[in-house]
Amino acid sequence: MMAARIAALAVALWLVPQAGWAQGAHPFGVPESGAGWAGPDWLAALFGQVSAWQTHFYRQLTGAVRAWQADGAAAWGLLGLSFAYGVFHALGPGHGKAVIASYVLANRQTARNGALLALLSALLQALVAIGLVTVLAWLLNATAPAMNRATRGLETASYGLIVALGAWLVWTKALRPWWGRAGRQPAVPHAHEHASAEAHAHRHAPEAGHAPGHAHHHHADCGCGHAHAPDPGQVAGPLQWRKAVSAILAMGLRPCSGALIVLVFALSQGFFLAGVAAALAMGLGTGLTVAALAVLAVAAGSAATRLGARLSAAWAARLRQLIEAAAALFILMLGLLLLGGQLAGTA
Amino acid sequence: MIAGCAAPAAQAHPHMWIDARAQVAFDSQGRIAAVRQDWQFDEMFGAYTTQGLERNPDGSLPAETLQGMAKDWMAALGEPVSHYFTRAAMGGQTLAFGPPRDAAVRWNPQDQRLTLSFTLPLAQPVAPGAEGVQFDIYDPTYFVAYAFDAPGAVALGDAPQGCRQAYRPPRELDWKTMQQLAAIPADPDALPEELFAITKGLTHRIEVTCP
Repeated sequence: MMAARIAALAVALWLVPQAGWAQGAHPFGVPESGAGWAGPDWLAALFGQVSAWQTHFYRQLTGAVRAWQADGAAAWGLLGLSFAYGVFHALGPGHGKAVIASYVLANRQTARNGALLALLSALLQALVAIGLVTVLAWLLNATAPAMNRATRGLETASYGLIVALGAWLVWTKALRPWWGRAGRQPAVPHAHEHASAEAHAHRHAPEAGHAPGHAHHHHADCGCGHAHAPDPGQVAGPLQWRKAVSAILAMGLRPCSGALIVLVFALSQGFFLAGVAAALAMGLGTGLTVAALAVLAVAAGSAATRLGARLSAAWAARLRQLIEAAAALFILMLGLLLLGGQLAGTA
Repeated sequence: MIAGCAAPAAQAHPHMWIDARAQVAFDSQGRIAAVRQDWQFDEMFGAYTTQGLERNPDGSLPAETLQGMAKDWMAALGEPVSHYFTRAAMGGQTLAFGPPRDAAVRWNPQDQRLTLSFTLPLAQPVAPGAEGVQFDIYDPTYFVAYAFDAPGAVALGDAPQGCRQAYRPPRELDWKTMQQLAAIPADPDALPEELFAITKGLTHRIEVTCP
């Protein structure tokens, strides 16, 4: 289905006559990998070092593709390099891991589900790059400007999804609990716990639908109490696919430029397989790294809730709710910023 | 939280590599008239950029394709934000460039590398004297990494007797600077001066003196 959609997009792009060698913000038309991030000194220091390593691995990729072509046993060299590139790519600045970490926080995902989300979105990212180059470059023999346009389209779709995801999370995590409370009664401490449980109900609701009364049903057996001590059954609980898919798409829809370029380079060498392997190894490196970050985010969220629980159960619920609302708001703002920049750049 | 203090910013690591050559050209009156540059792009960029293009029977690219590439790139490089990735200064004053000339792209099918060449004339030729003229070549967004590693990568053309050039590679990008780079607002018109101040020492600098 995805392939069909990409193919449709490809055909649409193929029909666009204009070439344009210089596209986007930079004079040389290469798909750029999203916006970077500034932060405190130590973070900038980390990103600087990460960037140096990433460059180090990236520059050896051409040689590694040729080495494999000459000698099958050298495949591991390319796979290792690509994996390392993926790890350092994920450690560098980027919006993907911010979205996943915030999503995990906003939805009180378990560590397992957070890691799964990260891995799946990285896998999707690699598959999108492979699909894009297979269809556009290999099958349709499209040019770089056409591939850049396709990448840009996917990027815009990805940013749009982040906005939608953020808006939906802000509604369910910040606005709806608050409105629901204000509509019923003046706030009493109990109401906080109630709101928390309501927000919570989404997570482990394998039952179809979310009827308004649903939260009440859960209130008795899953109040705020277990928020800071999820039992093993919940940790192992299934990921909610319908919701998770939007997060996976939001992060995985835009291909990484490094993967695209390696794929096209491998194709030009008549050795596309090496590019596919490299893209998948990059995805694995990125996915494992983001998974580790997602697990960290879950741990940080539970630590904050535990801290609140020392004060009182009501405080724990309040703090939990605040974290969820802040994470939801962050995703929305990030999405708006990215989408705004993207649309301004296109205009 | 990492997320809390984040702000969107420029690309913080190179995605393409250029093996560059620069020749500072003098006019008949011993003044610096132009800087001539050859930028040879890395082979992954070459493979990506030439993907899907129609080839001549011998594997070369049609002249019109290469001309189109040169035209588009020069137009984009001429935007204030890029400024041909080149700056000239004398005594702390920035020297203005005229419109670029002789822009051309070559493609070598053997090593899969594209080369962009162009001549950037000074709007007003200057005699460097003992004080000297400085050329800085770099991509302030750090998307392109330049290297002037080849023997004779920096040269003088038709220079009067006694003129000398000195090349100084960029210092390593330190973290503080990287952070400043990342925090620059995306205002294309305000960009060059501000970036120039921040990125001092990060450029490939060619100093030409005629004492």
